[in-house]
Amino acid sequence: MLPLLLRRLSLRHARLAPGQTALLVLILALGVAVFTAVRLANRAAVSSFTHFTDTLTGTSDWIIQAPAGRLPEAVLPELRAALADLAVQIHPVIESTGSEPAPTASPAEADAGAGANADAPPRFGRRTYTLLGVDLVAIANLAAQQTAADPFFRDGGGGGFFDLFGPEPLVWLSPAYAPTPPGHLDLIVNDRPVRLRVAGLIPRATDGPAAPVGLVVLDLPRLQRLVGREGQIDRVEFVLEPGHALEARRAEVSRRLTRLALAAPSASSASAHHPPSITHLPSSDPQPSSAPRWLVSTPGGRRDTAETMTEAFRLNLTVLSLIALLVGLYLVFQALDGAVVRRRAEIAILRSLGVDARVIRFAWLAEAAVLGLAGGALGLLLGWAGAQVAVRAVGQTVNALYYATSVQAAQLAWPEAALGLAAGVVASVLAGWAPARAAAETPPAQVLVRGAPGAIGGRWLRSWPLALGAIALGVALTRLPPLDLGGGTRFPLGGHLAAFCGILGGGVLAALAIPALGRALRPLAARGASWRVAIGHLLRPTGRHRLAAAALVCAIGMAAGMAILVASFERSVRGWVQSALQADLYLSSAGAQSATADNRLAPATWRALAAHPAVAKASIFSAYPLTLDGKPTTLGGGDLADQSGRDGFLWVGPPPPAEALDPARNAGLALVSESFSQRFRIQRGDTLTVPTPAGPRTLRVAALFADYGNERGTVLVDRTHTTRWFDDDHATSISLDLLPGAVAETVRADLLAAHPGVSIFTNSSLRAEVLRIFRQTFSITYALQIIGLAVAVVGLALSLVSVLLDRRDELTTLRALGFRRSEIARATAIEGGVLALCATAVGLALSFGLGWVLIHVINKQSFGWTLAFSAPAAQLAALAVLVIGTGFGVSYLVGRWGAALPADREE
Amino acid sequence: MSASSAPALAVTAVIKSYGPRRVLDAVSFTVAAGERVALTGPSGSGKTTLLNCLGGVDRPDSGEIHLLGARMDQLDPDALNLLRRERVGTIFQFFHLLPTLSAAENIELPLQLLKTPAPERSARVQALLDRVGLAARAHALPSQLSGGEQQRVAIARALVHRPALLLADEPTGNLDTANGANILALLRELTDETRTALVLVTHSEEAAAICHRRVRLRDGRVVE
Amino acid sequence: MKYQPPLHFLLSVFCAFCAFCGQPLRASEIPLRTPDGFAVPQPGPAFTFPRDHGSHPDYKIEWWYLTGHLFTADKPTPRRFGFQATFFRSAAPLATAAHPAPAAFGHDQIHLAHMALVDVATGRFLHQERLNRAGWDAAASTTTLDVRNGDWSLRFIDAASEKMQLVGGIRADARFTFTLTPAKPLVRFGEAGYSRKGAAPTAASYYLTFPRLALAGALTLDGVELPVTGQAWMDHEYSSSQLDKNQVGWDWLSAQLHDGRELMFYALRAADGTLDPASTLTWIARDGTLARAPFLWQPLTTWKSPHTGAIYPQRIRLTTTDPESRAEVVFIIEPFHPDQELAGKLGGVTYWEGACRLLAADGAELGSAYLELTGYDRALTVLR
Repeated sequence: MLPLLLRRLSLRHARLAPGQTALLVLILALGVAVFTAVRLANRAAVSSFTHFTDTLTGTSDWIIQAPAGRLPEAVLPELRAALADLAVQIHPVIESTGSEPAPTASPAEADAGAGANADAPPRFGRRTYTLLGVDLVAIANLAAQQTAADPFFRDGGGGGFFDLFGPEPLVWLSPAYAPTPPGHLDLIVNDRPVRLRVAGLIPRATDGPAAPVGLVVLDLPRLQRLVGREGQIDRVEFVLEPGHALEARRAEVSRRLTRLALAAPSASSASAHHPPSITHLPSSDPQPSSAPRWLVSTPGGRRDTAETMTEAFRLNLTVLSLIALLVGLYLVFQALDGAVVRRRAEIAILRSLGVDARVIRFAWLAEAAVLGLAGGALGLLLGWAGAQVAVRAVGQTVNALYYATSVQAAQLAWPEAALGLAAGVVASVLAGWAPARAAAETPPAQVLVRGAPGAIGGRWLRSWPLALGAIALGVALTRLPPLDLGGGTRFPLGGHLAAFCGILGGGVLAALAIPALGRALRPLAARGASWRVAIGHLLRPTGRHRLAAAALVCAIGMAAGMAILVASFERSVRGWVQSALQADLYLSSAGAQSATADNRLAPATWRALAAHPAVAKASIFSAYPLTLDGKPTTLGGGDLADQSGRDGFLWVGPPPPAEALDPARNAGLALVSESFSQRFRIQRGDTLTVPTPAGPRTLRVAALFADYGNERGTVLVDRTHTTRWFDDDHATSISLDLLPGAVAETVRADLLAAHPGVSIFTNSSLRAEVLRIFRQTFSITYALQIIGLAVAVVGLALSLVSVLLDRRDELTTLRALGFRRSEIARATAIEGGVLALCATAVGLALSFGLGWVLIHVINKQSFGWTLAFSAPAAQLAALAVLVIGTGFGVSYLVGRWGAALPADREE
Repeated sequence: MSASSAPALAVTAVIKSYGPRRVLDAVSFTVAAGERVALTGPSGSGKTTLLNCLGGVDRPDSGEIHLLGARMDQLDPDALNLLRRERVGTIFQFFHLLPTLSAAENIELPLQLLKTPAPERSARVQALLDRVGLAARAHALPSQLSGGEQQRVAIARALVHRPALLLADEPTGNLDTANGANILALLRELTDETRTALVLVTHSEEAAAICHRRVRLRDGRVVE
Repeated sequence: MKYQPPLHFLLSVFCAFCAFCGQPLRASEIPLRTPDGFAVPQPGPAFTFPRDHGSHPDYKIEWWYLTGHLFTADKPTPRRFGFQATFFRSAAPLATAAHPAPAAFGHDQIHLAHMALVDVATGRFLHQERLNRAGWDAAASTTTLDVRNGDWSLRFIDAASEKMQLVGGIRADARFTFTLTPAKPLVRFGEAGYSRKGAAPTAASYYLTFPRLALAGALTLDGVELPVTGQAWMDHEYSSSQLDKNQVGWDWLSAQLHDGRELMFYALRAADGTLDPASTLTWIARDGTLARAPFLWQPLTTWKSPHTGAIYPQRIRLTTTDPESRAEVVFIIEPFHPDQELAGKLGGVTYWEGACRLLAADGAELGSAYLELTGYDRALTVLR
């Protein structure tokens, strides 16, 4: 019976209305596609945070890293001695970045003359390479390398390892970068352009991931030299030899590393096994307290940190991507419900023939599932295609805000495929639930009154208490604190739930508003027959009308809410840029192209730059990555008086006392950014302890400042202190105030000619660049908004199609009464247009609430930024006109189509 | 009776086929102004097809249909529509009132289509409501009316714009005997009052009895 | 798989055994430096100790090569093991070493080490190799015996008594710390430690050997610590010599007789399968005096490696003359287990190095031995 039912019910229906079925599948597909695309893009962006060493080593068992600054090489013999009996390989690693040179800033051209270079506005976003330095001799001991298909050093080359030791540094590139490597690679590293000879391709470790496209491997000492970090390493990785008591040894290694981290480095213990040929490097300063010298973690732990860091951002995107699916769900519900109503006679006959109600219900659910499956499958394809585009946008944001990624093509993996299909099927079955029940409840002997629409789902859309309750609940939920995801990442669950409640309440409100609007428009009914008919329908809307309006409210509310968030964000960033950027020129290493690029200016370089005759004042800034409570953040050293003393510097709360800005008196004082304060729950007046190579330093927070550039938060102290703590005089960036009369562009050209590895922005070009990056960051949200709106408008059209199919008899009557096709179309256009108008009005009103929630709850809780509310009036007006106009237009077309429907006449 | 000697409706040699099946086979007859003609015949004899052709909903393959002197089978859709909206009224077995409009609004709709001025519209609607005995139910929705009441509203709607020809398809088919008799009486009275020609498709003897004559169809041919 | 420098080591080992085949050379014909600038061993060396037990980075190649036999204290039958511990050093081309490198990551020397252990009772054979640049994790002292590669090391704990400590292991499975005390004084092979290696004037090495070291210490196997005693043989050799293209491989044997004497034998196998005339057998008397003797080297059986497919001789019949009695003696060299092959991935060369018992023709056990067989794997012939 069931197969017959499925054939009869589902297949025939699909055949009889192929266009509608196709459209429905397409809409579901679009929902699934958006969802899948965002998921894939998210995953690709996150997985492209590679623990790069994995490529070479397989997976290390443990990693140690300094909580701030770097580790001295002297820890290596100490570690060897401490772990001597545990059969563990010790691999020091140094990691840095370099960027590809700007097209006009190639060394040759820069030498030839910087004219063209100076004219081109600088831009961020050139490809950043991760430079990985490992001991290329020692990694040959790794089992993972011994079974690698193509080791670093191939037989027959003659020199083998000794080539590595030649005067020229060699690099190995990812096979993903080029299957046959180029002869050399040009890079900007720190403040210098360099050309490195390419020795070959990076061999892939057994079980290790393929080398990401931007990975460049060098022998460790060569990279130390290249980036000016002789004697320092970034981390040490530990790989246990397989064999006896592996787990016990792994635990013991961690235990000893943790213990050793707290012990002051003892020269005697280190020298016990210390090779005589190694001259002792001076060990770091005596530790004032027992702060750990390093933190012990695992590659998985590092990856988790990266994932939680972007969790809030990715969750926000995912939630946004669900709009389309949600609207799709509405539509499937509509369509199936319509089908149940239209095919009620058929069902009643089946029931009277003795078909079990459960079988009918199952058949309808099966039909929904088939729709979902088809939509899901198509959606996967579309989603995969969309992800290729989206991944770049997500990657750009991650790069701009979080860490260096080497975005690769988003791959469609089985879990994602399954999830996409499941999303389609679940949405569809969920939507089909009520219609299926209605179908099953059709009484067998029912005397069918023709044309009586059985409005399902209309009941809860007529409930004032529900509308007001949902909105009230939403308001209450905004008070909820964020959910702590660990690693300093918090997810504003309350905010998201509040938004959902708001959308629900708004949807019901819009549904309730339809008849009210109909009454208001009633006088117009006298204007003509089309008006009369349309207003008649608006006065007595079916569940379908209400659902269509609710779906539109959802899409409009979210889109406009996001628009408000973005506008508020942009305004705040603009204001911040105005106040924060007041110097004439901004200089940094041309190698610094992303959030985590650690390319810096050497002391000699920045001094030379600052010494240009046109410079009135130079302000030096040094940033150090820092791990605090297991969360990555930044310690900045700058001239506080100069950086924050300017007019209009954005303090959050009261400005600091005068001594905080005086390097002679501000030891122990710090300014922290607002996002730092949020992430670490630290307020003005609180103290915090930051680890430094010179030992932990306790700082009191003198004031909070606004910083929209760093979501991880910044602790700012005077550079006189950081220079001492880190024993480091490099500059991350410098800003120059020029003498009156000096032309910024001319000075810039001058400086560029002398220092081709330095990236120089004039004040205006940096402001423009910051805003460009800002917009780029939000590009994906625009795309999601547009898709959501498009689906909602198509949904309105589909709802009207459904409504007209329900009203075939009425159409026959209208034609019999002498209605022209255009008059019927006009009636439908009025009906749909007013629906759109109603939804737009409620949606816009809702969007202000949603915008408020996004700005003051969701954004504040996930990123910690205070934004000034700003509604983009023109954009919202355009949105309203677009939706209402499209609503009228689409409805007109549906009406024309409906007017031509063949009469459903009875003999 | 004095208005015109020309017939309200003249059907000449109308042929209509659906595929190989000839549904109407050279049907010819005329209906004079104010004349009531019952169109009878067994199921499948072509009654409804003929009615659809007369109402301009369907077109004959050949033959001519003259409505008030206009050859309607050759009119373009707009003109046909205009002709129908001005000169033809239709009554259905299942009433076919617009469910979202009240009785008065349903009746008013044809006048709105003709852009009749509002004061005249309401006067005529009111008059008709009085005439069909539903003045008290003017603002009721179709779902609030009984079957007989709905058909009375439908008759009022079909006549409100004073058509020359009224087409009725089994108007009593969905009503009990008493209500059916009332409706038939109403139809006779109203067509007499307005001198409207009526083509009444029916199976029922009672309905046929109100007509001046019968045209009997069998297998697509007029047998009498 | 194919790492170039370690290959040089083993090929150099190969060349080292050419030492005895050359014609006498006048001192004036011997250059002080090889064409690539490394020091050339000169006749009549004056060694200073402990300095010359240490490293000689002026020379291109150097190794400290220990083999030995271990016994637990178990009664009545002690468990028996054989072990090998080898530290190689190879210098980078001088031009390479000239530009500066950080101390922790040097590029003047590369250190390779091999460790192997065989459990005589079970035949379980463990081995591991390790490669490091000179620097924080591998080094060799230039003042005394102190070589290190990762957590493996060999050093004097008392230079005066030449008492040394070996720390080694094989991955996580075995770990050992042995104290080695010379039971017999240092032996200088060749002409007072100057050992000719071929016809070329530069082909020579300095060759120092402790033929009998008393061993005591602990072997930790699979987490179980076993106190062990035993005896070991240690070679220390350094040179800058080059590869001879006519050889395919060599067989080498060190044997320690229960009567307090030792044998050192090597046979150089030419491409045509014949033994090179330079192949030599040397007796070491109880007082340490050296005596060469004629020999007949007859492999009796073979073993095909399941790992590499190489076919190695196994039971070997060695006929020679006892320098004390001037009588002909026959020894049977019998590996405890056939599978003591070191299929080197880092070294790029596969060889067989195994513990053997030394038997009389009648089967009486006369002593213990270590046998080294190279060039039986295809790889070495390719590199000839």
